[in-house]
Amino acid sequence: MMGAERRTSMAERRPSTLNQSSFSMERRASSVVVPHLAGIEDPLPDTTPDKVDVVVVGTGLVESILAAALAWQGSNVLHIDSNSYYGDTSATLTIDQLKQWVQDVNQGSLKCYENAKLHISSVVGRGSYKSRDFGIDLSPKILFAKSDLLSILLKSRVHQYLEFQSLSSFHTYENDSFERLTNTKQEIFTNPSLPLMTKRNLMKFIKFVLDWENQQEVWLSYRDKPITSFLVNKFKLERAQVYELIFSIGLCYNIDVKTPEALQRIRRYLTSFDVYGPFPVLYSKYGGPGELSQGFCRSAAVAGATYKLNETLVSYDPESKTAIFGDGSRVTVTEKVVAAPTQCPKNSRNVPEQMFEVQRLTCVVDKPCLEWFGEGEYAAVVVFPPGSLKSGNRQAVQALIMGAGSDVCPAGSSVWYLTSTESGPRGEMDLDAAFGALEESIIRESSADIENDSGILEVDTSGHFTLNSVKLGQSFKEHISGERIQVLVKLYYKQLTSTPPFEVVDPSIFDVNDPVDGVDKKLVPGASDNGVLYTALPSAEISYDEAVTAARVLFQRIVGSDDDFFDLDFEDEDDTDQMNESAVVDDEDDRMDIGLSAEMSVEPVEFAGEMEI
Amino acid sequence: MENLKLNKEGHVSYIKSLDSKRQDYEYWLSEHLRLNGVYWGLTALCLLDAKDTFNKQEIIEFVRSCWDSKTGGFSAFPGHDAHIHTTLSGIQVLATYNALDEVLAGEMLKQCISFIKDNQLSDGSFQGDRFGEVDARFVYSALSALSILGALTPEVVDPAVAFIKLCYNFDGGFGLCPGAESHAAMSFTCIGALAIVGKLGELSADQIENIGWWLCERQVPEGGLNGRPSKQPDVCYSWWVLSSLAIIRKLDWISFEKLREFILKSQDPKSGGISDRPDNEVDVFHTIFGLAGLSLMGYDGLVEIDPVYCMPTSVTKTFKKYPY
Amino acid sequence: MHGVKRREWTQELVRQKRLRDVEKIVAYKTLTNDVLSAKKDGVFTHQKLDTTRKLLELNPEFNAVWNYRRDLISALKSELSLEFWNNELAFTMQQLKLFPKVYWIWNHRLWCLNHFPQSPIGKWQQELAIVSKLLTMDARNFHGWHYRRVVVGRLEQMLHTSLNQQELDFTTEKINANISNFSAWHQRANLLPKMFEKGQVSNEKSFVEHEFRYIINAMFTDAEDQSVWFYIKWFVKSDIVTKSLSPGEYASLLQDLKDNITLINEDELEFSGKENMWCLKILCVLEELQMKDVGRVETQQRKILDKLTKIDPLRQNRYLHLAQDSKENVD
Repeated sequence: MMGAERRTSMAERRPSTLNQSSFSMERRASSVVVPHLAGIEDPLPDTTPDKVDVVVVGTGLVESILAAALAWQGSNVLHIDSNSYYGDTSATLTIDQLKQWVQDVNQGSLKCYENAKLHISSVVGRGSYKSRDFGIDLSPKILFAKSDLLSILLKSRVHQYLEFQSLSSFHTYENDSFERLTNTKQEIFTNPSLPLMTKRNLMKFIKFVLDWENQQEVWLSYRDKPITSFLVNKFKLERAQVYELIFSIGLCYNIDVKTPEALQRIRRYLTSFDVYGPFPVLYSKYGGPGELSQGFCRSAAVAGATYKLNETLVSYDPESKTAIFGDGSRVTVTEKVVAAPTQCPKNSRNVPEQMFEVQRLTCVVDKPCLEWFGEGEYAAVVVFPPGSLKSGNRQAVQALIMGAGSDVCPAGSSVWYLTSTESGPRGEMDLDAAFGALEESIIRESSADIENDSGILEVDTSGHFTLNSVKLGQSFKEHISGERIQVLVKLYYKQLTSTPPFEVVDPSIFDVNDPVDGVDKKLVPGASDNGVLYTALPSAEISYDEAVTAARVLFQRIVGSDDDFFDLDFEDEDDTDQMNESAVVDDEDDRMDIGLSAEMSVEPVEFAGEMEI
Repeated sequence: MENLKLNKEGHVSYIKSLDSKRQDYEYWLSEHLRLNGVYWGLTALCLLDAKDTFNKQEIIEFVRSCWDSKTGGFSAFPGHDAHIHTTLSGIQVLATYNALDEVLAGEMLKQCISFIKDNQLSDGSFQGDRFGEVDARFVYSALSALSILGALTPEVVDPAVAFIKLCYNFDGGFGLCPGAESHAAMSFTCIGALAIVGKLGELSADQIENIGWWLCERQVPEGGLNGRPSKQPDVCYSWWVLSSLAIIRKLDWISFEKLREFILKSQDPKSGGISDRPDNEVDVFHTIFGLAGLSLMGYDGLVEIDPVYCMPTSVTKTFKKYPY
Repeated sequence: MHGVKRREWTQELVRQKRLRDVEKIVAYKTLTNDVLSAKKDGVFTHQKLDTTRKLLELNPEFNAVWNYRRDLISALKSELSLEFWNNELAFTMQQLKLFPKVYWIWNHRLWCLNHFPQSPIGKWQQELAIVSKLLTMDARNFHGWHYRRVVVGRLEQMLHTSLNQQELDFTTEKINANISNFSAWHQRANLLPKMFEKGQVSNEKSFVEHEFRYIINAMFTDAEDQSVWFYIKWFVKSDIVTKSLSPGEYASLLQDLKDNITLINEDELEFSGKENMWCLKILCVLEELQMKDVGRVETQQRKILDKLTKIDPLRQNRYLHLAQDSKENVD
């Protein structure tokens, strides 16, 4: 066990007295109630309780959300993890932890992972690169500004444990170059290379998609057809826009995605834009799902859940309702044992089949990659649509690039997370090809001889813009540099999951051990996990969208209804006081009255720019 | 929606209840608007044909107590400072009760007239008080107050009209001062002021057409009216926009039916009162302007309102019309 | 209340609120009485600067207290340090962030700048930066735009130079950020005639052509947006266009615009089965201009108005009125 070495925990970084100035409205801040931080800063208990309502095994994101939801609903929760750190499949690991993790995978002691290969440059571990300067996510994710998870983060106040940064740069790789997305009204308006009619078509589509469900007359005849035909025939969009919409905005995995499904995904991006500012997604600093899992565990602890790390489930007997743990302790469980497939007990026979593959290539390179980030940002998404790579990829490869500003790697470097849903050796080839494309591109773009791009877009004094040359990227197609980038860390692995690629968890997998028509399923003789409810492992989906659904479904299985799923109200009495002055976010007009500055209400309007969650 | 009805009794009892909220912090926070509030409440009651709901003598005494003898105008509340706008409210309340002569006479009347006139600046505009905030609203307040007092003169009117004409914008709206963006409330203050001094003819036929166009574009699909392009609808614009349209005789350029529905939906069906838009908290300000809008459209048996003065026509018909 | 959701108040909630209000009311009334009686008695002390500030923090709409505060400042002026003035500006900023639509605060800030010791030019330049920031956060704040014009006016006076070009660039920046920002289009339409008049535009004809392309671009980006159409309606009739172009050039500009609008309208019809009402409204204006200025005889106006009464029923009486007018003109 590498227990001694770890990254600064959330509790250490974020003390109980939170800096409230990061809140949007100072006035509001006074009424914010931060749940008292108990729990996981306290020493973990030596003994387990005798009796609990629910045992949750594994501290991955879904399990952690579930534990928090159950704890706040009033259930008595025991939450354990066999690792010495929080997060399980969602963990954020240091280099040393990663080494151990790879070893564990290859020895077969970590289930649901295969084929882990790790290369670590000799410069890591000494000098300027320390092991714990790195925070590598096992399943990197981005958070849409308008999403279930974000509203639960706010409602549960777990967001107060976290620090978020924005991500607005989405690139599509086409013809050996990156195109930055043109997807906002502003970008469409000011982009001098888009033909007028294309601008119109694109805007028309963007307006439509925001309310697509209510406009059946537009899309119904395309219900069973791929989104491509819809975009081309109905909106007359060109290939470049179609690819952007499907792959970069919709973050779909291939061209055959059906129209309604793709529209849903495209809308997700667009409605998230400008919710907190001019960007669609956020991510948490210091590591993604690893941080969020920790946050939810902390919240669960505040609500009374008991935590134990380095603890394993040995067996569960549904007859006597007794769970036995690795340290020999036993607990009576009144409701349910829920476990991540990665932490199933020895001799388990009931783990659902993990039939889908997620292949990942995670690299830390010695380039800051600022060229890809938006202004003041530290992350970007690059999408390689099918057929865009030398490997002739059939599925899209998605890359999440995180810079040093997000505090997951040392200054001057960046982390590249590449993900593919392609199975078998092809997946690894696609990932390699995508890595090569990224590498060539960053060498090109960061070379000094092409820094001067001022001649391309000219803005005259009155603000009229003209395009003088082709777009950046294409014009340097011929540029080949002998330089290579230095790879500090390179990690391949394959993760298995029961969730189909890029889809939300299928609730039927939870049926495995569930009573059918009130009759318990036949127990598997000799199995150590009869009656255990297994969670779904993360899919390749780059957003967090599946996590809440999965946790909610499990919650419903355990509690019987999802009415109390994060039915929280931390608002204190101060809020109810604001009878006439409650701060309502509103784009309301200035009230101008002959009644003068009249009227009783003081009308605070948010200075949107200061919004920060 | 056929079941939408004007909740007359509700509105009367809501307005009546306003002065019984002394246990609420907000009541005290709104002292600086009390005299305006009295004007809004009283005018709303007049429209509802329930003028007697307020105790006339008490109200007159209250107006009297708001007199600021140092400056010679009315303040919003005893001990506050006189301002052109609150002075107009005081005069409007007194005129509605036909009590001008009783309260504002002799030396006091003279003082009040010179308070208003002294706040006119060299460009014809008016400042609200000695601290110099200039705004077309104050031009309206001044001209309306002087008109009710029968004290308009060409020396005051002509430069004021010149100023208002400078507030006209290319889009057909008016701004709070020359160069400022068009705003529906300013259309009312500018057009209303011109109407009060009989100078609507200073606007060309083209301008009137343009004004009408800009105003009718304020109506949004929900039926309500907004104050500027791409803004949300708000019940109070039912007054600023409709009164302006009425004055230039283009009242029917918007859809009455849709606007009426929007205003009625903004009522509090239980306790009365009207809010800025459906399901929001009501207040007396939106109550009067919602009712005034309905009255202009001739609905619901409301008493007729004068689009120029925002007072019952039964009161304004007694005013002397300038030029005298 | 503007933008405040109505909520259900149970008896119990009202009781609880009133209980909490008791203390607040006492504190507020005590403070108000203290300030108003000192004001009445003409007390001008530093201590009252503190009390008025406290009261204004509770109620920034209390104009009499702002007035009294200004009188206090004027009376104590010789004893007040530069730091006081800077704090006063910081205080108004703090209040504006909470209550960006209260006139009195804006007003007081302006008064402070005007009375700032020596009213240094640097303060005003800083103010311009502040208001730019503010308009980034709330791009259509009415007060902000008004305030900006006041600050610019003051700076021009002090610097003896025109800031029109800089202000025009600012409108471009705002429009590029959001073409529905009518406040910026408004400002643009105000600035351009001034700049043309003062000879601040080097090549007027080419400027007009550029501007024409700019609005065409905007029109294609969002043909539903009123802001752009109101600007176009001004642009085609404005002196900056008619005086910069020859009659032939003007005629072809109008036709070019008409063709583009027609293109958009036809596209809309094909897509949704309905014509675009703003296209029709502006086509109507163009038809009239062509008749008046270019001497065209035949006009589609009647046909367009007919369509408008159907697709824009809210305003049908206006179209009927226009149809009546055009008939009278023909007769």
